[in-house]
Amino acid sequence: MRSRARTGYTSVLVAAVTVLLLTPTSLLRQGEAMQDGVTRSVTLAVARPVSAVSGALHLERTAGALLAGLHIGDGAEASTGTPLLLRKDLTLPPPVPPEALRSPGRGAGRAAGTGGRGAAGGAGIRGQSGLDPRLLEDPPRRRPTAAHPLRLLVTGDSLVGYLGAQLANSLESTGVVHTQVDVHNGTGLTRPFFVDWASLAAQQVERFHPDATVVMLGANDDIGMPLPNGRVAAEGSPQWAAEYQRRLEIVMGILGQRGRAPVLWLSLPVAREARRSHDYALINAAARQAARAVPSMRVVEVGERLTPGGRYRDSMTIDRRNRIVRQPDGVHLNQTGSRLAADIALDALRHNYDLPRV
Amino acid sequence: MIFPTPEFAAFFVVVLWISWRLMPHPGRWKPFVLAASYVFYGYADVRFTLLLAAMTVMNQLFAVRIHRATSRRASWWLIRGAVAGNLAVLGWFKYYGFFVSSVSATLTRIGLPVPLPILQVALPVGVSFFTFQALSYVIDVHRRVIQPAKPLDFAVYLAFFPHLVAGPIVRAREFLPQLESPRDPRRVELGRAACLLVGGLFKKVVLADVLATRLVDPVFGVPSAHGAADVLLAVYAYGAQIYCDFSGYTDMATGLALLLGFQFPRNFDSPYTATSLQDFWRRWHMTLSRWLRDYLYIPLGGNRRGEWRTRGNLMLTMLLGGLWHGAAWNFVIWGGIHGTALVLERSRRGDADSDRGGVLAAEPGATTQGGSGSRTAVLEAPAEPAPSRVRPHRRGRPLRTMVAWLITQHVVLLAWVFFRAPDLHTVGDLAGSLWDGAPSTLVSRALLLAVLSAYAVQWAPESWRERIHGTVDGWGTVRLALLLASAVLATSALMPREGVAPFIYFRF
Repeated sequence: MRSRARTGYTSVLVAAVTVLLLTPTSLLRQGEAMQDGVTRSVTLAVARPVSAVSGALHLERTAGALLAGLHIGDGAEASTGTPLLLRKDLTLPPPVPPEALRSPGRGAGRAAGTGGRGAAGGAGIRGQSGLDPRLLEDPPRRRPTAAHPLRLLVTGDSLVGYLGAQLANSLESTGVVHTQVDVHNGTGLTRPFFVDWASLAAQQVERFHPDATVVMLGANDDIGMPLPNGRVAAEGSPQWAAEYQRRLEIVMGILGQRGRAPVLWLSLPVAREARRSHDYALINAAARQAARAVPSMRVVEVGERLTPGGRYRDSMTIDRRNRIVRQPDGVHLNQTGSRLAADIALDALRHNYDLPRV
Repeated sequence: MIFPTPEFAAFFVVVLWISWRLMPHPGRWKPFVLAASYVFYGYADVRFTLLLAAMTVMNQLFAVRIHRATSRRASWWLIRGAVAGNLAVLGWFKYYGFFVSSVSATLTRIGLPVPLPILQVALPVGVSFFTFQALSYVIDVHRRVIQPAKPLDFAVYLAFFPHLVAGPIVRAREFLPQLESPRDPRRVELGRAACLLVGGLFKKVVLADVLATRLVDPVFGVPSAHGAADVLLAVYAYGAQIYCDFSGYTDMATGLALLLGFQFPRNFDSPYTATSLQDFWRRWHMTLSRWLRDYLYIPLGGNRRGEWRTRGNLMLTMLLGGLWHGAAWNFVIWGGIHGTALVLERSRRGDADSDRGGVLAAEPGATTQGGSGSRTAVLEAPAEPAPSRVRPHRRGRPLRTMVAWLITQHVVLLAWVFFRAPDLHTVGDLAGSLWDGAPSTLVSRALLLAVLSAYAVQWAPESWRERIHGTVDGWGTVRLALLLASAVLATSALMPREGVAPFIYFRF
């Protein structure tokens, strides 16, 4: 090899090693976010020792200080500490007593014009036998107004892509709902080193002060999961399902703000690939279990309309027309499918809020 | 695999080293690069490598048969078969669901509901690009522009990973000669490669992704929640975003190819300085526009069958060009806007363009001759004089030039609105929001600076670029490594936590 090509190769190699030494956490997070397999194993096998070396030499800290001014920052800053979701000592404060939720003091500023009637249907809050029975009652439906609009947060992974916009567009026209769509593509509950959804949820509550939240999350969670004890739960195993439920309870509990704010969890529709569908079914089951423990969490069954009988379909009849509802990847909903899911979410939201028809 | 990711970096470091080690031995280098390209493509979904392999075999077989055809008639049937085969693949993977849904909807509307099997077929990344490259190969063989390549050479050409998934659309006649002899390691354009990589990374990660997440996506997602200021800036921002996203990718692809010793044709030439739509299409996605010119517009007759036929050819070319971008009516409308504007421009200019050989992209010294020359059938490119690279703006009339530039850019931006909006309803909402005097909630100095930078950089003289390339070309290993590492670190710091967003043109 003569000079030019060798110079090029050597420059690329030195640059790659330099970046690796100065930002190993980034590579660790990328590795954590990968699907189980050789690539992930190799990535982590490289990233962990490099991270140890970089930490010992304070290289990453120095680089971080130099680059700190460039961070745009859109939420939970990545930290090298233990993610909230993996902390065994993490406990959430107890839910607010129902009488406090219904007190005039709390309602006056934000819930003027409360409907005062119980929610229709049986899709109210479910709780374990030890809970105060008053928690099992459907809360009175609040009627948002232009002066005191409903602050709705729509969040999740890429599944929310079109859904968020559809919901927001529908509700914006009512003039009594302000919708904030906060999408975090490529994230999930199984990779807290990549994005810690517990920290993220806390920041969302702090930033947006939502009165209610719609969540659709889990498309990237069909992978093995690191546990608080350092082991990895195999995808689809009982340990995996139990841990996923625990994480759901944490994140939904944070978004629910001690029972103050309804959290509507949209179930994952069946995917084209059987393996994914199996994992999504486990996620949905974990969500239903979590809803028993989190006072304001409710699971909204999207699959009943989109994939009845648990059978995947690309298209379905809507308004007497056969229309495609999924994207080519067989996972995500397209515009039409998202509109349908948004309508389902809207109907569920009406159990808690007296919203104008759109 | 996408370019600015750790796994691609690891892949490329290894491939680059082995590539130069094996370069003196083409018999080993070609299979290696082919295997590496298939690993690159199969990383996302290994099943699609079967499609790529099948396309390679099919097109090579057709090329050889066409070349050996004993009669012109046989050659014609074979080229039709090749074109039909390639378009069938593209049609199935990309357009089946769209066409069947559209037909079904139309039949239902006219009272003839027919239960057509509607499927959403998985879309292989890059299928539009490598299908067009394959078509250019077999058509050029048919036109006797080139001879069929050796199977391994053609396979490397089609699968070469820097251009595989999102172009540029490199022609066989540009790439295959570079395979004839090992690349000279002393002639690697390091300065240009490094600048393209750094510049491309900056455009994609810092400009395009930030504009998308902070401004364009929120506004185009929920237009009614935003006022005129946000909507207006979002429209300009999208023009900047799509340019930075696509040209950023192309720059990185070209830089990577240069490091491997290969040259790619230029794909962008400051498109937002264009003072006419004709000029725009000589500067935007140049490899696509020349493909459309040489394999669609000219075979349809170009501008040599009368004025009305010329207009029809222009419109059809642009409509199909729009459809190439995606299976949705908004892309067709986008193409239709450009087609209409080109036709109107042509009408305003009169027949001034006929001497210049057409309104689409022209390359200096390029000819499109081939075939028998006397017949002008659909797939045969008649001999044409090489159109000169005409700059439509008029010297000495700055005001008129400025007005022409403003009109051109706003027609382009209007078309981009349809390109970006998920549906026509959103376009209507955007238009409605332009009358909303609500204060801006999204505009910030950083975003304004990002938008202005993306447009302003287009006006930088070519000489500045050459000077920078030349300066960097003289750098040694340490400075080059520092440049690359600094660029990666800075863009990583600016990147959203979830990483790099998919390139816009990956969807096509």
